[in-house]
Amino acid sequence: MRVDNLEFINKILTTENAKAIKEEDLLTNSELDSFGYAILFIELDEKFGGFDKEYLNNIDYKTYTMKDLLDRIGNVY
Amino acid sequence: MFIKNYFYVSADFNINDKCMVISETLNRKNEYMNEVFYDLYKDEIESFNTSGRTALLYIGGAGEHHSLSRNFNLSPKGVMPVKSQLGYVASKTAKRIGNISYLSINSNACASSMFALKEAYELLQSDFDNVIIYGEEWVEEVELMLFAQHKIDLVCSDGFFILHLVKDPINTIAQIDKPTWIWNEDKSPFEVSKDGYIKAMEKFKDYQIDRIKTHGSGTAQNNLAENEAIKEVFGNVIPTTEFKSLVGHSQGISTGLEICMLLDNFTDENILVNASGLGNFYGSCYVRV
Repeated sequence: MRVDNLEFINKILTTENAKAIKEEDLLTNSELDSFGYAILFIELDEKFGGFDKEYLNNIDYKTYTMKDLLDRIGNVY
Repeated sequence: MFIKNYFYVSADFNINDKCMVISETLNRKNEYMNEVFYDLYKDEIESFNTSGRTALLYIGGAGEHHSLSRNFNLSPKGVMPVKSQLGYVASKTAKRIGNISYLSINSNACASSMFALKEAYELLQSDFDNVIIYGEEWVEEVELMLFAQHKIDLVCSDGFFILHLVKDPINTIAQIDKPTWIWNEDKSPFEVSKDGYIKAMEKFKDYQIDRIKTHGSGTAQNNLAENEAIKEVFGNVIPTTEFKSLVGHSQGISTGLEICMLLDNFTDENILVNASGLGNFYGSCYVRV
């Protein structure tokens, strides 16, 4: 499941002209732009839930990794 | 300015006497236009990567092309509100081409690509080395409805083009000079006038012109106004060419698409290119092929 979710997220990243990343990478390393973040979190919220405004406002992008994203999905799902 | 490279696809399939499409898009009209064209022409699009300071002028056409809101009974949901933004679409297009440091969005209806040529000319006269004009347009129900409502008798069509323009003439294909863009106070935004065409063309009165590529929308009113203006400015001696009877009227991208067609069909000629657009816009430019 986690591998599938990683693949799903990386598919969104590359579709938005960003780079695919690994679990340990910072999400910002994908070089996703602001529109891309909007698309990413809308798609994740639609598929898994749990990406509401309160959660998104508390993300610290200096430390937020793909692992954090996958953990969030895992905790919600 | 000079044309270094170009790519275009014109409509090749008649739906009926009001509508022509690019056959590859036929069953994909419920998708996002920009995504469909990128999927079809990815290699060609990505080949327009440049070196040097580069601007991208994106001609996006009507908002419905970028939206699944064509059916107004549907509520906006999911990513549609983001994907419906021209800023999102243009930004994505810039990333795909790469090396872009200036991005402009242009949706001026029927004469958009003539305005883009004017903007490109000004950018290349400043500190830009390259301008990419990227134009895409396809037929929407709402456009067919617009023309039907106003009894504008033309063939609405799909089209796609990319022009790479540079200021350095080395290894180039053709030259475009003095793109002109005016607005004329006509009696209706849905009609063109002889007066508007004359104002756009008159600066070229003393140029050596071998041919005029008319806007030639195909409507009786447009053809009459444009032909009378040509006769008044240049007399009856210059041959004219039009493409819309072959590929339909691809609206905002028609000038760019038809310049690409000139490159494929004529050599060693000085051609005056005309355009006019919904809202009383007119433009002309001088093309040496």
